[in-house]
Amino acid sequence: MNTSKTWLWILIAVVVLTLFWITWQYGFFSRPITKEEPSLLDNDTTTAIEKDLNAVDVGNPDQDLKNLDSDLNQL
Amino acid sequence: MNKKFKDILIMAVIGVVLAFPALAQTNAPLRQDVRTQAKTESEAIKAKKTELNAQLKATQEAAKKRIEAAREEAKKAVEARRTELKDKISKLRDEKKKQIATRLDEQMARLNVQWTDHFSNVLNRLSEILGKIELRATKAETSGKDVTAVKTAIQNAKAAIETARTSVETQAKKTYVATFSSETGLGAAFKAVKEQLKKDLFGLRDGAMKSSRDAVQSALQALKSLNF
Repeated sequence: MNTSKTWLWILIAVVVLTLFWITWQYGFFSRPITKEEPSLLDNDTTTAIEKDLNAVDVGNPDQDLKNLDSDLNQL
Repeated sequence: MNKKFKDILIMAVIGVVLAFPALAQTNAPLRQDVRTQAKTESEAIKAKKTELNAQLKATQEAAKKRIEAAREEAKKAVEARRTELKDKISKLRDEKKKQIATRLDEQMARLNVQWTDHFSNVLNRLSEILGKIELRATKAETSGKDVTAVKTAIQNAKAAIETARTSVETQAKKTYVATFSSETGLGAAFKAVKEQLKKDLFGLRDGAMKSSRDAVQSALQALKSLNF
């Protein structure tokens, strides 16, 4: 009788552990997982890209050309 | 009774254990499968990044070579005119004017080199930023976003950058050598050359350069609209 009871507890423990493993394996503990985000390989967020683009200065040749004027006026 | 109850309990538990995986599989993929899928997507993005970096490097090197070749071609083409100018300057009576004319000739040639280099660097930077946009779009696409509009904008930006590169190359081929017949026309000749240089540099900046920057901006706007 006592051996039979022990055997029953072992069986229940195995079943509980099995159910726990299956539940974890299928992701039932967290939100339903259909797809994980791919891990980002760098930090180029849209905001960072925008910052980069805003920093691009096409330039203004005006000052360089004006520097020629003093010489030109002496000719 | 007790044994019968125990048997029923065991059978019920075994039944649940056997049925549970089958039920679960219909609702959600295995954690292992999700991990494998994420790994595959990461690898795809990594491959795209490597591809983009290689493309970027190749384009920048090719553009640099094209500009160098254009400058060499221009140097050869203008050699005779420059020798003629130097000869005319050396014949000027006013020593100060000789120095100024020589200096102006060198400065205008240098300005064209400096600004075409600058524009070329700006285009390299825009290409890098566009590469970042493209990579981000690839990530968005792997997450299930519709990136058709972004892809179109990226292609437009690539075309605009290529057009600007050709314009920079054309500018690098241009030469600015004053032509004058007498000392009295010296100032006017150099002023005319300076005005032409100004017109060309501003034309390039406000034309092809601005268009390429705007095109990259449009690609970024398209990316931003994905809210990714």
